[in-house]
Amino acid sequence: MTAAEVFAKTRPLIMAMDMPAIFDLLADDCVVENPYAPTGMPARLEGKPRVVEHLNAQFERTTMRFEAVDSEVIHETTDPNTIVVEFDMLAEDTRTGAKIRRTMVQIFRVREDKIVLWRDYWNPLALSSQGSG
Amino acid sequence: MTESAVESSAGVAFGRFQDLILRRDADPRGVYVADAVHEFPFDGRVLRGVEEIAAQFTQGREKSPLHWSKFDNLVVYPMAGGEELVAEYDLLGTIAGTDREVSVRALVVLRAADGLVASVREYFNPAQAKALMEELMGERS
Repeated sequence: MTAAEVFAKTRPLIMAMDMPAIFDLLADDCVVENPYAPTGMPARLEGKPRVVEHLNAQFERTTMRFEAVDSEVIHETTDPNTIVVEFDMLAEDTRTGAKIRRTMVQIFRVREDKIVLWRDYWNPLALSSQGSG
Repeated sequence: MTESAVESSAGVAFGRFQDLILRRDADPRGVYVADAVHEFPFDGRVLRGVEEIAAQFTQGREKSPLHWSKFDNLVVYPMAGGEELVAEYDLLGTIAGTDREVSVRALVVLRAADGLVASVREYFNPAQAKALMEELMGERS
């Protein structure tokens, strides 16, 4: 599968927060990066065990419920294993009922149908003003 | 950067964009098309048209003591067709009159037309920018 195909498979799993199914798509040597992570949040996680541990902890404590994706643009690079995706994630903070729009851009790379790189740029100021998750 | 990216319209436009950032006397009018759009998705700013973009550059250069010197750790992702690319890099610079070095991680989605920039979506870390701005204001006061 190309990166675009793996991404298309991953997106509904993210929306549903189906963590086991997401973890099945991670390569053993996958790397997850949050280059703009604020203090206290890891900017880089290497290897599936670390990624699974971190994402499980994050999804257990989050009060966000993803509702929809808006303004999505998938940039297919000349390398079929790599795409860049821009989108806004629309969510609700279940604790406060607040509606949230979070702008994101991701670099997504696959190898043999598995995700090897998931680099996620988002605005940390929006995170602090809009709640955890 | 790959050879094809350098030769493509987007590659040429990105080269001009880099030169514009690094050379404080470079003119945006030779870099962007007349109706270019430069967006900053993380803070919502949108500059429309080369004159508005040029005015922003002029204001920034007059007010900011930041001097950018290098696009470090540059990775370019060319797109089929040659009119679009994505680039990730660390923009290195110094604060004029000090030894203070600055490194800003950024990503741009650039669309070109005939080797000029037609649109840019520039992502940077607003938290870092805010802290940097506060530091610069502090040094001036």
